[in-house]
Amino acid sequence: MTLSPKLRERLTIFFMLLPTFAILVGFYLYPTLYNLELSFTDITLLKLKRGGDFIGLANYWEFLTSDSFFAIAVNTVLWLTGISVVCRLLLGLGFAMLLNSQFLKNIRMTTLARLMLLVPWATPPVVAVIAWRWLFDPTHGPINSWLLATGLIDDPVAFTANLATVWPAIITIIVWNTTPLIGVSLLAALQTIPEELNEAAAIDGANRWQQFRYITLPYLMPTISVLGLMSVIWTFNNFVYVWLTTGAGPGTFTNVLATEVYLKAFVDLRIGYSAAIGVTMAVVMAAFGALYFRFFGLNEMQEKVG
Amino acid sequence: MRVEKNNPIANAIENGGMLLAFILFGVFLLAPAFYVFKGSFENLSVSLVATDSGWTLRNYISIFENGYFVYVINSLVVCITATILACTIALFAAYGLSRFRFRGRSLVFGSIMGGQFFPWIILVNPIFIVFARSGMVNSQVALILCYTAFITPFTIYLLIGYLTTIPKSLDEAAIVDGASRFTVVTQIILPIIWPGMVAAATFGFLQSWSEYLLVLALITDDSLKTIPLGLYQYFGDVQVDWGAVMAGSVVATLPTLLLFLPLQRKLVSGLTQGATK
Amino acid sequence: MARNFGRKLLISCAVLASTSLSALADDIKISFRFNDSERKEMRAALDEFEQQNPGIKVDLQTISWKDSRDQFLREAAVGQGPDVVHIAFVWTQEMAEAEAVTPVEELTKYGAFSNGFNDYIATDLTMYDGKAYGVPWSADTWAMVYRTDVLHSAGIMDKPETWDELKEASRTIKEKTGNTGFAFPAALQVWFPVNYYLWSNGASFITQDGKGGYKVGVSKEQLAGAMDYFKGYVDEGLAPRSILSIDQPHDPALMQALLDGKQAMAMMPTNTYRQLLSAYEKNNPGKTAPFDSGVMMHGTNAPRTHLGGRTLVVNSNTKHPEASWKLLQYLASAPLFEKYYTNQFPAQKTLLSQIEYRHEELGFAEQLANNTRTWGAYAESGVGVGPLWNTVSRAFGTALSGQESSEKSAEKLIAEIERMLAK
Repeated sequence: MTLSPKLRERLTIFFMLLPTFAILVGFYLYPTLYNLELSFTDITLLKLKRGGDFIGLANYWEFLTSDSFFAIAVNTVLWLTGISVVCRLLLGLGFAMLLNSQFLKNIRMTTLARLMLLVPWATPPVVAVIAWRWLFDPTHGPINSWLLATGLIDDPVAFTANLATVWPAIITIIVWNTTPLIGVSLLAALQTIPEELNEAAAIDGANRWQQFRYITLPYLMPTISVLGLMSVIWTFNNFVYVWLTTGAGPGTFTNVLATEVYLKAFVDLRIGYSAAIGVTMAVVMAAFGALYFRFFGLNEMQEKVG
Repeated sequence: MRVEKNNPIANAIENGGMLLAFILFGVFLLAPAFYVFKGSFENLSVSLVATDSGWTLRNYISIFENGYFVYVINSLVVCITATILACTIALFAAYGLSRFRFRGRSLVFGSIMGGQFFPWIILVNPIFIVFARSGMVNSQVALILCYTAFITPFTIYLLIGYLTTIPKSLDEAAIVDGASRFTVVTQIILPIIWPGMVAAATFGFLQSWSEYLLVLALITDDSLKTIPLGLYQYFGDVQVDWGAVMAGSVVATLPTLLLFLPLQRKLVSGLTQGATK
Repeated sequence: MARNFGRKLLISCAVLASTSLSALADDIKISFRFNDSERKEMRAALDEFEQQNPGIKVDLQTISWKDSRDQFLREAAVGQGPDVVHIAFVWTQEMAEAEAVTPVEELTKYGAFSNGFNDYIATDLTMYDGKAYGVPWSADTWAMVYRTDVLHSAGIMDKPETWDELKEASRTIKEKTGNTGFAFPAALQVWFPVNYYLWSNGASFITQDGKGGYKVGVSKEQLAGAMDYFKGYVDEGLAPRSILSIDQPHDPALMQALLDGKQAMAMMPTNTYRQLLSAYEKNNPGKTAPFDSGVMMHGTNAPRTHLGGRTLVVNSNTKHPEASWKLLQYLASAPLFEKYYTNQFPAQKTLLSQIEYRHEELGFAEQLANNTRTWGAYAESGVGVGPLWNTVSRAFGTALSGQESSEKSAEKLIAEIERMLAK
């Protein structure tokens, strides 16, 4: 049997991509469309057997005009995603610079430092939350014992029950668990900067800050922007950290979009309504992704897409 | 500037500051893991207070008597199979996407990116319904398929980044020599992007290792449950067994840590090449 | 030689496989989903059942309570799920509405109840559309628990009887000993104390409106008052602020405070109290536990707590209704509660009257016998206890944490309940 080269090529492409097509259609496209359909109905888990009734955009309207919408949006965008991603990038950059410093190399600490980074990285998020909940524990937790012993506080702080400390506590957990990835990636990028560049700049009289600002940072920028995008996407949709740390509480104080989806779908059993929230989330993320590509001009990536 | 650099006092201050920062980072990174590890060997009472000093294996014995070992095996089987499947699928998909120009290519790439935008939590019900209707509840196959689907998009994304760094002339030369595309991928491309594969695999493994919602919906048979379900059961509705939670956490983290240790260098190079190139 | 042996082995394997397969084919396999922690005991009970009923094999499944409601609804909707399921009293009606469970009248043809269905308590919670859909299995409620030595050290000899006395006693304890007086789970399960408070003050989230319908049975002022009452414990420092993130009365922090003698008063369900007693006895061998129980606080009215408990239901998709019913009847029999499931009270009047209580548990006995009520209108109005519970707990969370003022939170909560009633 002889096939024309062109046909052979096409068949090759087809078979190479077939499993991926199957996955995309079966596990993404179909459930997403099904979900879209559900979001226009009043279906609940109790009505799953009979099916729900079409109610148009009522779920979307109810969600977008509900009292809690604004708070949930602020929590998700500002606290969960914005602040935590910025903290992660800054701290990750700090790690990377420190690990790349001549001083650490001199005292032979780089390998140890790398190993230290592996510990939080390899820790599953569930375990990370368990560990930190114990550290934050008001009655017996080490952080409170330490703060009490040093006299910084007079009474134990209930970190996850106090409105002033609950978000910082959650963000600490996320940062602990996810910064190593960023630190390690930035470190690798740092190591690709030719040493001559900094040396030349130093000879020209550039101080440390100027070297960092005009050489290191531009060099790292592509890495930072990709890591930023990835972190935003992962965190925006993440439900584990908030749910396991506070259960969206105290009250509804730390409720975010992902936990609202969970609460509506699995606690209040309103599948249709939670589907509408999920679709809203996906739309927001898609819009964010598009803007991000546009403004950060990730040329190489666009090349790949195009 | 250069004068300052040679000033011993300034140097000492700078080095001291760096040492301090290093120690602080170290404490931040290791303290949580340390306390969990320590707690897992202590006699904990209802709360996290050790009832007496001295080490004990009681927590570990109790979780393994409760069948935690079965969960570990199940997790390993499901996650390793899913990771291998996903990497294989992704290798060919990434190759196809990076080497060929065809209609619908950007659509496919777009959907792969889009797959990561969608909150998985919302897909749990639809996916459960599909599998349940085809009689695949309490089936490891169903779980493996889900996890494969779950980690494939990001794996493809990582590998594409990697593949674009390999010149096309390499495989074209082999094609001219009469090699099939399949041979090119397995014999030429795979050895080169091996670090990328390792990084992608580690990622996928880690993601599926701690997945909770899908396994909760799909698996109710005790003998098929995975580690996250096992770990959650100690946060019981009638009591919380902190000793078991701590020991279970250590056991849940150990495999990933052991996996990361030998791979760390490959991981770093694979990840940065893939994610940022 | 070796080849011959190989063939023999193969044949004997095949024979073995076919015989064991046929043995399997004769057995009826059913599954029982049981969500409490007594898994070992329950397995032993099921082994006994299998011996008594040759030909029936029972598979034991467990899932955590918090996931079990939505999981079973999902499974039942697509024709899956275990045959016999352990659910909460208050879920029975929604399971019936979802067509997930078999009506009891379709099952009694396989065997009648030994003392009749009326011997069961809280059967009203199993009724949907005029039919019973489940069999009440275990009963429980909450009552007050006191650490007597801590009370005495603060000079309090008589237990408080009203909500105001409870707070006053907490202040005294804090002042004199620095210990916590009364503390409660203020997140998810704040639902219970809140209802007890309102009921004993003549209010309720939903009541009958006298015209065959239902209405909100609490005014904004009453509701804000209840919020302020509980908020006071946190704001005055009588209870640690950390209770705002505590979901359940068996939370380690609350239990530990009681065990260590740092807290004097709490409220909890029976099995939590039994765990507390056994934890104390384990840590202090030979010592008498300094704990006592008592009835709930009075308000302007008599104290009332909810009659809670668990129902057993048969999945509407079961292929073996007869075997499932046999299992259900076995599970509801007296020997099961005497031998295997000893931490729970049976939800049957005859069996309840035969229980001998420990001295420390008399408060629970009194509460269960004379001072409970059902959720009543919450379920009958169609709003459902589950959804109402979640809404109320979240609203109290926002008020107690200071996220919103009590007035605002109360106003929103009432509007939300009205919306739920209108549906």
